[in-house]
Order: sequence, then C-alpha cells, then structure tokens
Amino acid sequence: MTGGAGVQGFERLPARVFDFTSGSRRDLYFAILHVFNDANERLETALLLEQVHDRLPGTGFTEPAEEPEVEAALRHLESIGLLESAQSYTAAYATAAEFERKNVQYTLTARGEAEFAGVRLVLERLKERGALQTAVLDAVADRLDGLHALMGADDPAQDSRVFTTLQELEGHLDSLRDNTKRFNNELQRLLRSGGADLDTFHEVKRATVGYLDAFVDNLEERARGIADALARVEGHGAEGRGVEGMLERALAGANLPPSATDRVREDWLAARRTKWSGLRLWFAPTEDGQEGVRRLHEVARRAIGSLLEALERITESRRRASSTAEDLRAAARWCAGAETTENAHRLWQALTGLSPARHAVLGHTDDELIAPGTAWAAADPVPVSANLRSSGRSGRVARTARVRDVGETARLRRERARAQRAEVERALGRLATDGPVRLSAFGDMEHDLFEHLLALLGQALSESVRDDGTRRALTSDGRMEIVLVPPPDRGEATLRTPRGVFSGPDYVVSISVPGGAGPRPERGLE
Amino acid sequence: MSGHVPVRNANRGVSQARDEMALGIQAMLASPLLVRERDEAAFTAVRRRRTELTAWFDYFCGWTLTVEPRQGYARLAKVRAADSHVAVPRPALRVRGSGAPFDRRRYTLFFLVAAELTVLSRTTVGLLAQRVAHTCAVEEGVPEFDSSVRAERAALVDALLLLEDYGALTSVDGSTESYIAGADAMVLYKADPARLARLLNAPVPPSRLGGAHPDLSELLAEERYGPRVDGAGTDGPEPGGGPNTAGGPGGGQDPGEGRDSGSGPTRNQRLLLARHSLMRRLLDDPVVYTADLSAGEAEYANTLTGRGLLRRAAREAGFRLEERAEGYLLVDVRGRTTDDVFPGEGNVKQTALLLLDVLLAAAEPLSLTSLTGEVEGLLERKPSWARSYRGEGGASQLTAAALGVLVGHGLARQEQGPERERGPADGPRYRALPAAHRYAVDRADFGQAGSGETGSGQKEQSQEGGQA
Repeated sequence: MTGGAGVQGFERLPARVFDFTSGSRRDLYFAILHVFNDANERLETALLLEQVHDRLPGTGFTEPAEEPEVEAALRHLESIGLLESAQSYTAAYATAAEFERKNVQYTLTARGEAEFAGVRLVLERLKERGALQTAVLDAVADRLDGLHALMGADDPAQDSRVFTTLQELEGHLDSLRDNTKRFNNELQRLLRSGGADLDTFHEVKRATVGYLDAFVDNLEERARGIADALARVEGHGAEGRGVEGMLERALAGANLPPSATDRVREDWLAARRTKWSGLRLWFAPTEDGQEGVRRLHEVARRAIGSLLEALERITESRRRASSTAEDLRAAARWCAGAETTENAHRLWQALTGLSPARHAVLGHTDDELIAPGTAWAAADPVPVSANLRSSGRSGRVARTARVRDVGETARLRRERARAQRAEVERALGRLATDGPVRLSAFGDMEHDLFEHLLALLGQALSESVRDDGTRRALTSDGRMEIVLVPPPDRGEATLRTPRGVFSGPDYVVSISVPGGAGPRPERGLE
Repeated sequence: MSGHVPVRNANRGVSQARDEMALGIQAMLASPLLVRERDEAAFTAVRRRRTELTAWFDYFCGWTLTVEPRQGYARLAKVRAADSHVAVPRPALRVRGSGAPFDRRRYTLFFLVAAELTVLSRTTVGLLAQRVAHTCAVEEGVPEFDSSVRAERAALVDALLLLEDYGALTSVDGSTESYIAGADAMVLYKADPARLARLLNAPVPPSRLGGAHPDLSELLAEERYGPRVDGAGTDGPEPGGGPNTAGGPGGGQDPGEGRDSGSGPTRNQRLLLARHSLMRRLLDDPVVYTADLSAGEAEYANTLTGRGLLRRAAREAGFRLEERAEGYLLVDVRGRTTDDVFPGEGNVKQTALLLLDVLLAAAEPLSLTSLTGEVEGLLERKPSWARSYRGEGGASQLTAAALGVLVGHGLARQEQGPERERGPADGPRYRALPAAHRYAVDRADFGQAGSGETGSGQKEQSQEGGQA
C-alpha cells in the first residue's frame, strides 16, 4: 500500500505491543497511562505513586484502587517497557520504608506514549462516524491554491508556510480518505441489513439518499477544481522545480531538530511523496477520469440505487393489502410450495384464468337429425377421418405444397442465358473470314451457323450501297462487321445445310471483328 | 343517409354483427388475454363489440371482460371452480421449443418476475435475475435462485418469454433467449404495469389469504353469489322444493327464502351461480356431464329457460350445441377455441383413438397395465410405426400420453375406487365416458388399414409435447 520510495520492506510492530490492554487489570493500566498522558500534556514528565493514585479518579476510572494495587500496576507497566522509574529526592519522607516506597518517580516511555496513543486512536475510531464532507474537498482545493501562490514567490522566508500548508493539505486528504472509507463501510452495512425497526431504517435510508445525492451533485465540480489546482502546482516544474522543489522547501520550513540525520530527512521526504501520490491518485485526471473520485462517485451512485430499492421494498410491504406485487409474490410462494406439478397447473388456472378453452372440433354435418336427449352411445358417431386412425395424419388438411425456390429458378435461367450467349459468340467467331471470300466458299455448313450468316447477310443487304459499291453492317452488339461486295460475275453461290439448300448471288463477303479482339477460332469454311 | 339503407345491407349489417360477436367470444375464450399484435382481426372484433361482449360474458358467465383499445389488449377474467374432473388443468405452455408445460419452478419464477416488474419500468435481464434471486432468498419456502446454473436460467427465460407473449414485458434491446447461454447477456426490457396487474384475476387477492398453501375454494369465492354454503350447493338438504311452494316464480328477491343455515345465499344468488357455473363449464370444458353437475346446476339445466339459454349461448358464440342424455358439449368446427384438437394428428392421438375403441369395447374399467399391453401389441404389429416410442418404456409413455389426451378431452376418466383394493401393482384403471361414443367406429381398424404406413417422426412428437 505504501509504495513510497523511502519505505523499505515490511514494517513490524514491536513484540507484545498493547499487552496492557488485556488481562483483568487492563482498565487500571489504561487509567494509569491516561494519568501520565494528561500529565505530559501539562509538561509534567514524572509522577510519584501517590500522585498517580490521587489522579486516577480524574480520568473517569471509578473503581476503588488501593495504593499497593496501583504500585503493582506501575511495576508491571514498567516491566513491559511502558514506564520508566527513577528515584526522586524532592518528596518528604517520614521513614526509611516510606523513602523506599515513595521516592520512585515514574515517567512514560516513548513506547508507552505510542501504545497509549494507539489505544486512544482505536477508541476514537470506534466512536467516529464516517462522513462525506464536501468542505474537505474545498479545503483541499484551497491549500493547493495556497501552495501554488507560495511557490510563485521563491522566498525562503515562506518555506515554513509551505510546510504548514502542505501539512494541512495532507491532513485534509487523510481526513477525506478516512471518512470516505468509513462512510463506505457504514453504507455497505446499511445496505446489507434488513433492519428490524422498519421506521428507523426507512428514515436512515432516506436521509442517506438525500445526503449522497447532495454529495454527488457537488463532487464532480469540486473534483475538477482540485484537479486544476493540482495541475497548477505541478506545472511549476516547467520553470521551477515542481513538486520536488516544493517538498524541499517544505523540508526546509519543517525545522526538523538538529538531531535529524540525512536518513531521517530522506524518510521525511519519502513520506511526503507518498502522500502526494495519494493526492494524485484521488484527483489527478487519468484516462478514465479521476480515479479516486470516480470510484467515490460510483459507490455513492450505486448506494443511492440500492437504498432506493430497499426503500421501495419497505414502502411496498407497507401497502401490503392492495399491492399487486405482493399478490404475485404470494402466488409465487404457493407455486413453489405446490405438492405436484399437477397442483401447480391447477393453481395457475385458478390464479390467472389464462388457460384457453377446450372443445370438440368434429360435429355432425346435420345435427338436427339427432334428437336432443339421445344417449351418446345411441347417436351416430361423428365422422372421423379414417386417415387419423390409420396413419395418424389428417386426410382433410393436406400439407402445404412446397414453395418453389425462386432464387434457384432465376439462377438456372441466368445460366441458360449465359450458355446461349456463349454459343452465339462461338458461332459468330466461326463465321469470321480472314479477308474477302466468295459466299460460295462457305459450301456445306451447320444449320445454326447458316442462320447466323443469313442474319448477317440480311443486315448488310438492308444497308444502302456505299460509294465504293460495298455494303457494310455491324451486328447490333457491334462485335462483328460484315462487308458485302456485289459479285464480280454472275456466279451463283449454293450453301448446303443439313436442312436444305440455299442459293443466291455469289457475293464477296468479309466478316471481321472490328477491334480484332473477338475470338477467332477454327473457321467454318474450308 | 342512414334512413335509406336497403334491406339487404341492413341484413348484412346484422349478420356481420353476429359474426363479430361470435368471433369476439371465441377469441376471448381461446386467449383470455388477447393481445392485438397476436391476432389483429380478433382484437378488432372484440374492440368493436366490446360493450355487447362485456355484457354477454357478464350475463352468461359472470366473467369480467376488460377491453383496452389503446393499450392493445383485452382480458377476460375467467374464473373457474376447481371441482370438475373434466376440467383437467390446462397449464401454461413454454413459448420456446416444443411448448412443454410449465413446471413449478417456472410458475414460481413467472410470478416472482412479474412482482419485480411491477415496480421496475425499465430493467435488464441481469438486474431482474438479481432481484429475483434476492426475493427468493427472502421469501420463505421459495428455493434460492442461482443464475450460474443453466437450468435455472432456462426456467427464467421461459417465464420471461411468456410474459413477453402476454405483452406484459417487451424486450427493447437484445433477445431473452441469449440469457440461457450466459448470465452476462444484455437484454433491456420495458414492462407494462397495466398488463402485469391483470395477470392475476382470482376473485380474492392472494395476499389477503396469505399462508404457504392456498385454499382454492377460498381463493375463488365470489361475493356476488352470496356467502358460501359448504359443499357449494351439491348436497341434498337444500331448501329443495321450498322456493316453489312459498315464493313462486314471481318472488324475485326474497332474502328470507334461501337462508336455512344462518345466512346462505338468496334464491337469486343461487340462480345466478347455477347459470354462471353451468355456462362456465360449457364454454370452457370439452364436455359437461349431467352427472358432474351440482344440484343447482342440474336443476337449472333442466328448466326450459336453462335449456334455452344454453342454446342461445352456443348459437351466439358460434358453436354447435350437442345435447345428449348424459350431458352437453360444444362443437367448434373451426377449432378456434381449443388449445388441443382431438381427434388429431400424431402417434399419441392416433393411439388415443385406438385406446378409445378398446375402452368402449370393454365392459368395465381397464387397468393401465392392460392398456399398456394393448399399445405394446400395436408397436409389435407395426414395426415402422411410432418410432419415437420404440425405446425402453416407450409403450407406457405412449399409453400415458394417449390416456392424458382422452382424460383431457373428457372422454375417459381414471377410476378412483377399486385401485386401492387391487393394489398398486395393477395401476390405475380407466373407464370410457359417454361422449367417447362420438368417436366410435366400426370401420377397418388400424391394424389392417394402415399396414403400409410409416411412423410419423418427431414433428408430431413435438406437437404432442403439451399433453405429456
């Protein structure tokens, strides 16, 4: 947790610490330490037995304690290192025995002081209630601003103020963290507890919700203010020395006693850095916003939700009589407790009435033929489809015909079209000539090919004759060109196909693919 | 304009109104919580005829119909006494998967979730589960809810889906079923407090009764029929001929009349109860046997008015009424008002038809063991039939399911008496009820006619799930 730079290893408590808080005489021990502590606060460092004895009632310790008993207690405390004793020469003694007994002065050791402080802290903590204080947030922002201002003026005389401001800042941060921690704990306990006393519980929860609401409202804005101030303080790093510089000035201002070694100073600085990083953890913006604040926010918001829910439950249980929810819950309880599933069905039907009706579906075509009051056994049976008996399938209702898959048909058609197209192209390709040839050169040819040729010829013949006496035509898709030159002689061309014979003027034709890109496979002519 | 409506149009108007009434009645009977999104046409009919429908249900059955046109739902508060053996409880069914009936856990979670939702208008599945877990921990007698167990999550999801089905809960974002895969699923919900409040419709609020186990008759006690006499009028020493001799038909309200033991119901209240309970049975149950009727109901059904009302109700609701010596039943030819169709498709119902023949042929009740034997025989004779029941215990499963169908349709009943005397080894005994004769045939039976048929696989199996 304390990942600060200066802290090494795990901190250990001295053995048998807080021993005085156990055992039958622990109250007396505590009272005695109380006495010493009070004395310490008045800068009275050493106490005699009778002084201790006299002051015991002042601590609120009311049990009667005789001097010997107190003395035994003092000796015990001395034995566990909480007290030290020394001879005193200032008191008046009547006898040697008295001198022996009464001249001993007791002083609190450092350890005694620490243990007493620890116990005190425990007691305080136990009494404290967590609180979310927006004022603390304001104070944190104020101190940061203060630091910023102090660092602006690089004045060594202000070092002590840097120190105090920093200390205050740390104090506020601690208080914020402690309070939040504690508050959160209490909150969780509040959320968990069903609450025996509904009214109080109700009040507490409602108050808590209001409190959280107000807190959440303020949190965002204040946190942003703090983040800005934090950035300003750290921003001094650009021209000055930033946080490190500030810490060094604080160290200078802290006026550590001359006994402090470098090691102590380094530890001091490390402790400050840890605190500072704690501050950053709470308020410095990260990628997901301000980490600590965001978590606080979340806790608060979730708590509001859960509390409201709990409140709802309470309110609900109050208007028990008319509540739908309560009815439904009772229904659920009954269903859970039903002995059989059958019973649960019955319950469902009774509770909701949501079950559909059930009726016969087969009737006589003419029911007037059977007189009312005839016994069922005597009346004709209703016609039942023989199929239902024999195959378990109804003869009346035929299965829906399978819907044709239109997509499949479309695909088939597309494919057929593509095939056709390819066929035509191949045919036309075979018609192409390498130059002008006589029509008669085509000779015998397939019928399909002939039809294509005929179509081309027809197209060409329908064109008007050009100046050079040729006719030219392009197929409609522009892929083939036919040039027709009137026959130089009166020759007659005869083309044979499996289906018949064609004869006509023996034109000179040249069929070509304009771009030359078309397929030019095997020719249809010899 | 309106003065000039041709006669034919006026007739059309009348018949349209009649059709709409019938449609509305049937729709409400089929789904007591009718949601607009589920059946727009039916809801429109109910909305348009809401005044007449409300009066109709109140007059015939004493059921309250609430129509909320703006919120898109109508609720028929069906109340049924739980005393008819024909009225096998029809359970809530899972929306998911094969539509199996709810179990106790699912019912419990359904109500718990609904309770939580009454105070939450918007929530997520995770929060809901958390609150349910919390309530489970607090409520006495309710097992704890552990959202890390898959089965528990599945149960919760079923409860949620049913609520969604009723429109009491809407998932705004995400799908409820994803919660089964893991408790960290994100589904955002919006609850409808009005519909939640309408889920329960027992005459007496459950929370007023309290306790760990409900007393159904107390839960279903309705004030309008006056104080309850024990035995609900079934017992003999009722005033009997008293009203006829003293009050006569014109008596109207004579409070002194019906009070034989302190403060019983008045004559009018008893008549009202007889009419309502008779109609409730007729409109809700597959068959109404005279033998099952209470004295009051039977008496009412035998009067001219009673008979007339039965016919009128059936006609107006668009049913055919079958009046037979042993009782009555409504025929819904379109099958709109029934949760289950019999005779129907699938191995179970086929078996049910066959067992019906067996039961009818027998002179006295047959034991479950012998009925199972019949089914075993069938399975042996037809090797490719009913494949899903071929495994260990398949025959008894199939028998139980088929008997469940028959009992559920009021065609057979489990005998109470002799089973104890004969000892548990023989199992319960079943007897065909009179209406079973409706489906009796003397045509070629299954064994011969359907020899070429193959089993009808899992599909029917899943339809049958609800009957198991």
